[in-house]
Formats: sequence, C-alpha cells, structure tokens
Amino acid sequence: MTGAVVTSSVVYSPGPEFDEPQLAAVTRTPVVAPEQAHTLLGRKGLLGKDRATRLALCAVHHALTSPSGHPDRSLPEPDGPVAVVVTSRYGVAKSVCDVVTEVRAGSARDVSPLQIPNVSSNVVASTIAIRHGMTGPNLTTCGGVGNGFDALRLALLLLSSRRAARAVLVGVEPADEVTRRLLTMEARPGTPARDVAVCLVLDPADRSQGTYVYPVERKRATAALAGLRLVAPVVAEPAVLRLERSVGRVHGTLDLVHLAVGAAWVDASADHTAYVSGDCGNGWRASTVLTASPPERPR
Amino acid sequence: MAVAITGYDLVSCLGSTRQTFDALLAGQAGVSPLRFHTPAVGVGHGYQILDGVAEAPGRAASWLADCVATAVRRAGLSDRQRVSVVIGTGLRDLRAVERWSADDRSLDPSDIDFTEAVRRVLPDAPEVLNLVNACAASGHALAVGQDILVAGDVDAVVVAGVDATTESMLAMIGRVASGITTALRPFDRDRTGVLLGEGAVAVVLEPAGHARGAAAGVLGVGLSCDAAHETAPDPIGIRAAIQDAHDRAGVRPADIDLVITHGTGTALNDPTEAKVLAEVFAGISPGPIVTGVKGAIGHTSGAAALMSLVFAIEALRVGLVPPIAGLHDPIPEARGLRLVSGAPVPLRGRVAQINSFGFGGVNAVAVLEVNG
Repeated sequence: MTGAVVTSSVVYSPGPEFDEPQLAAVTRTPVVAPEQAHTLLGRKGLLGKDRATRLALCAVHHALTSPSGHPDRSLPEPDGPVAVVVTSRYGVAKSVCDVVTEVRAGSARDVSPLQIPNVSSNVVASTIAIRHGMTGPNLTTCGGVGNGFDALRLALLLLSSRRAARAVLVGVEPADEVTRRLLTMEARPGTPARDVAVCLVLDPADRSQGTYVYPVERKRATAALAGLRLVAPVVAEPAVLRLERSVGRVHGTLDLVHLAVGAAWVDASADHTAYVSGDCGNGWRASTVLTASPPERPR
Repeated sequence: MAVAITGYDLVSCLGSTRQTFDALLAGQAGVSPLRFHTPAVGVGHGYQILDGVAEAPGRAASWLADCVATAVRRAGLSDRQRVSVVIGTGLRDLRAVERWSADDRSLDPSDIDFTEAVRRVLPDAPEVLNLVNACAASGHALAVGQDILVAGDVDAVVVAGVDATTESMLAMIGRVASGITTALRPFDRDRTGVLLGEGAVAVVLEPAGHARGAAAGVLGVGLSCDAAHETAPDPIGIRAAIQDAHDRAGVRPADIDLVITHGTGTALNDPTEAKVLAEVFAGISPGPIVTGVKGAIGHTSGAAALMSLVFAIEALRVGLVPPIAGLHDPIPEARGLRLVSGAPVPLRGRVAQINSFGFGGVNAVAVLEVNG
C-alpha cells in the first residue's frame, strides 16, 4: 500500500467566514448558496439537483480549476480514467423523507421524476462523474465518524491498484432540516449548522507534484479525537486544530476538511508536516501524515 | 493476483444458500404481495424475506450479521487473524430513517450504516467499509476486497452485500412503472419491470497461496462508470467494465463458461446487456451459458452481485446451471445468447463472469474460477 500526492484541496461552505486562518486558506471564491450554484457552474445539469450534490459540484469545480496555494497552477492531465470517491452520510436523507411524505399524502405519481435520482445514496458521486466525464471507479461511502479515512483509504486503493490515474475525493453534508435533526439526535454539542463540502484531488506520487499523503493507519486507542496537528520546525509547539467547532461534527466530511487544511499547510512550506487523526468508533483510531515529499521508500 | 474464496453464506426470500440454489434449479420464484407498504407506492409485489408479521427494525442488519458470522465460521478464520470487512449496500438502513420521519419511530442514527452490526460479530476488525454503490454495490465491495488483500495489509477480507425494501425506492419504481408488475421476468418479451428482492450475503476472501481446499477463486473484478446518464445503462461503460474484468483476470472471452447476468427485467437493462454480451462473445462457438437469478429472488440491490457470485460457484460445482425464472420468450437482442429457460442445463466448466450494473452508471464485473 502506497500513498499519493494531494494536488488540490478545497473547502466549500457558504455562510460566515471561518475564524481559523488555516481553514480560510483552503476556501475559494466565489462561494454561493446551493440554490445559486448555477452562477458558478452554469445551469446545465443542475435541474432538480439536491443540496448536497450542488455543494459537492461547487467544491469539485474549485478544486479542479484552482489548486490550493497555487491559483495559477493547473492540474496535469491524468493519463487514465479518473475515479470519484464520496463520503456523505445524510446527503440523500431529506429527499428520501420528502418522497415518503409525498407518497403518503397521495401516491408515487405525485413525486417529481426529477426526484428519482435523488433517493439513491450514490447520486453525488455519479453526478460528479457525469459532469466531468470521469469514467473511473465511482464509489460512495456512508459510515459515521472517521468515514473520511475510509474514503481516503478507498481512493488510495484505487490508485495503487491502477484502477484510476486520479482520484477526486469529496465529502459533503448539507445543512437541511433533516440533516440538522439527525445531527442533533447524535448529541453533537456545539455543532454549527452549515453546509459543508470538501474536495481533494489525489494523483499517483510518481506522476504529479503535491503534498504526499501516507496510507491510513488504524490502531486501538482510547478517547480518540478527530483533529489536525500542524508542525513547523521554527515553531516550538504544533498548532492543534479541531475544526468541528467551525464546520460541525459532520462525519467523514470533517475528516476530509482536516485533511484538506493539512495538505494546504504542508503545501505552503517544504518543512511543514501535518498529522490527521479521526475517531472510528469502538475504540479504533485512524490516522495519516502529510509531508512535502514522498518517503524515499514507500512504507 | 487471484484470491481464494474460503467461505460464504447468504439468505434470500427462498431461504439459505442450499434452499435457494435448490429452488433456482426447480425454477421457483419467491415473489409475494408486499406486506409493509401502502399501495400508493405503485408497486404491489416483492421478493421479501418473510421474517415476521410486523416490520421489525434492523432486519437488514440482522441478516447481514448472521451471514458474516456463518461465512467466517465456514472459512475457519481465527481471532488472531487481521480481517477487513467491505459491505456493499444500495439502500443502507434508510428504511429506519423513513419510519422515523413518517411514522415517528425511534431512530439510532448509527444504525443507518452496518458498521455496528458487523462489529457485533467481528469486534476486532480494524476497518469496516460501507460502500453505497446502488445495484452494483457488492460487486464494488468485491473489487475493493480483492485490492485490500493484494495490498497485503490484512490476512482476510469479508465482502458482503445487504438490502431490505425501502418505501422511497419502491416509490421510484412505482413512479416510472408503465403497469402492474407481479413477477420479474429477465430478458422476456413480456417483461413489465423490476421488483425489489431482500437478502444478505457474505463471502470470505483469503490470499490464494494460504488457502488450501478453497471452493473457488476470484480471478479479477473490473470497474467502470458510464459518466453518461443517471438512470439509463450505457453500453460503452458496461463494455469497459467487462474488458477491465477480463484483463485483470487474465482471460479471453472464449475462456468464460458461464455468465450470470444483471438481468433486471426492465425495458432498458435487458436489451442493453444482451447486446453487449452478444458483442463480447461474438464469433465464439458455442459461447458461454447465460443465466440470471433475479426472476427467482428479485433484485436484491446492493446484495445482487455477490448473490450471483455464490450461485455461479454452486452451479459450476454441481455442473448444473439454473434456468432464468420467468423467461419464456426471449427478446430479439438475446437470441444469439445461450439463455437457460425452463429447466437446468448441464455444464462442464470452471470460469464464470458475473455482471452487476447500478444507478448512476456504476458497473462491476467479476470473473471467478472454481477449483478441482
């Protein structure tokens, strides 16, 4: 198992600006509300699209057109099919609930045909593939906390098994009323209700320049917390960020936000390192490391 | 690299692995009137597991946990082995969300995925991946499981598939149905559409070199995405997945003895799949035997690919291929294929191809070989 390089990382979250400068550094403008996504993306293909899909498409758009830290640097052309890996737990929940409500009030005939794709849990990933012509493996994963590491693991597997020449890794949770209720039920104190999408572009380390991300490690650990440690040799104490205070404890999307911020931090200076960890439940912790260059021998 | 299949188990509307395969050979179908859903969904029948008068919470999770436990026991995995789990599901337990939203039932949000259900059986598994890849989910789980094993991080991988009926998916089928469907009839001229099936399946994969006496091996799994249309299948994407599967397996079309089709009985899937198969196997005489299981057990969504895989192994082991339940008069596009209808046909062969295609144009095609 080898790692890969992160060639672009973007957090897309309409709403108030973030307090953390590291988080603000991975946002791109313009940021528009999901209902206004057509002003960023054009109208084609957006009719009937749910909130999560619109947010994810905006994040992918920025990640593909404006690599982090290097607005003038364009991504190299991949030399094979592009994979899409999405983590989203509640992206389709509102559509599912809406359809059931409409059926109970009348019949299936009352449901808009535009809703049909929206009840399938892989609608975000397939819509990204259709929009960008990405014919590589198309995966969606939906686990709970720590699921961002599952998504990263899947993306790295697709690259190392040569199923794809690039992986577009996306996390998204919409702030619709169903998702808000579900997150509240999970007793996540202090979770802000805001739309969050994140996109990282991963290329094989021998193909592209970028921040190297190591394979995911999983270990038993007590009281694991999802977080990010940013290390620079000139600063004695590393900065420790727990961005759930800013973006919410939005399952795999939170892990990928940590990963995106870490990648941008390492991208800013060759002697920076970032450590990302996540709680996977049942006493398991997942982690990875981001460095400016690959190890001399892949570990 | 091929990986060994060292244990498996499933449950369908027709019962256990053995019961279901015997029923397939007998041409039986497990369809029944829907029990838990309003006629307003526009669908009246399904291939349901008849496991209680009332709809208990967590049905899918309990089927999955039972299958994983049995498959692991049959494979003889020990507690000391490092085991990854990859679950394919189309619908997760979104039924629990529906009942919470529409019927004020209580909901534990952690039950929406199947991690907890698996951890009850395998508490020491370092990773439990939930893949939500529509009707090709467990085919994708198989591909990922093989990749994990090849990467060498773990001793074994349990790949699984599971789905129970949801009201929202029924409504989507009812929304587009042109009439009433009482039976799923793959590749038949008089087919009227798809019906959902229920079930779970688990398959244990181990490195080929370590597994003596394994029933079969996975030679390769191909993946592709149409990137073309959300609901309509695309022959180019399907063909790419088949080509990828053959390349990874190191086989040519002439090496394939048996094809288990996706065969959903819909207006679009069946002619598209039949045409692609006719192209892939063009010029090969007599060509592979072609069958499918959805006429008997319904479309088990995320579980469908691995269900087909298990029945491919059973068919090749006993040398008898079950007929496609509900197929009487094949569509013109399938005329050149050796479709099995009416009664089982004998087959002396070792290599099978399993097709699975899902909403959003996600395609997974597996090639397996039985041993001995």
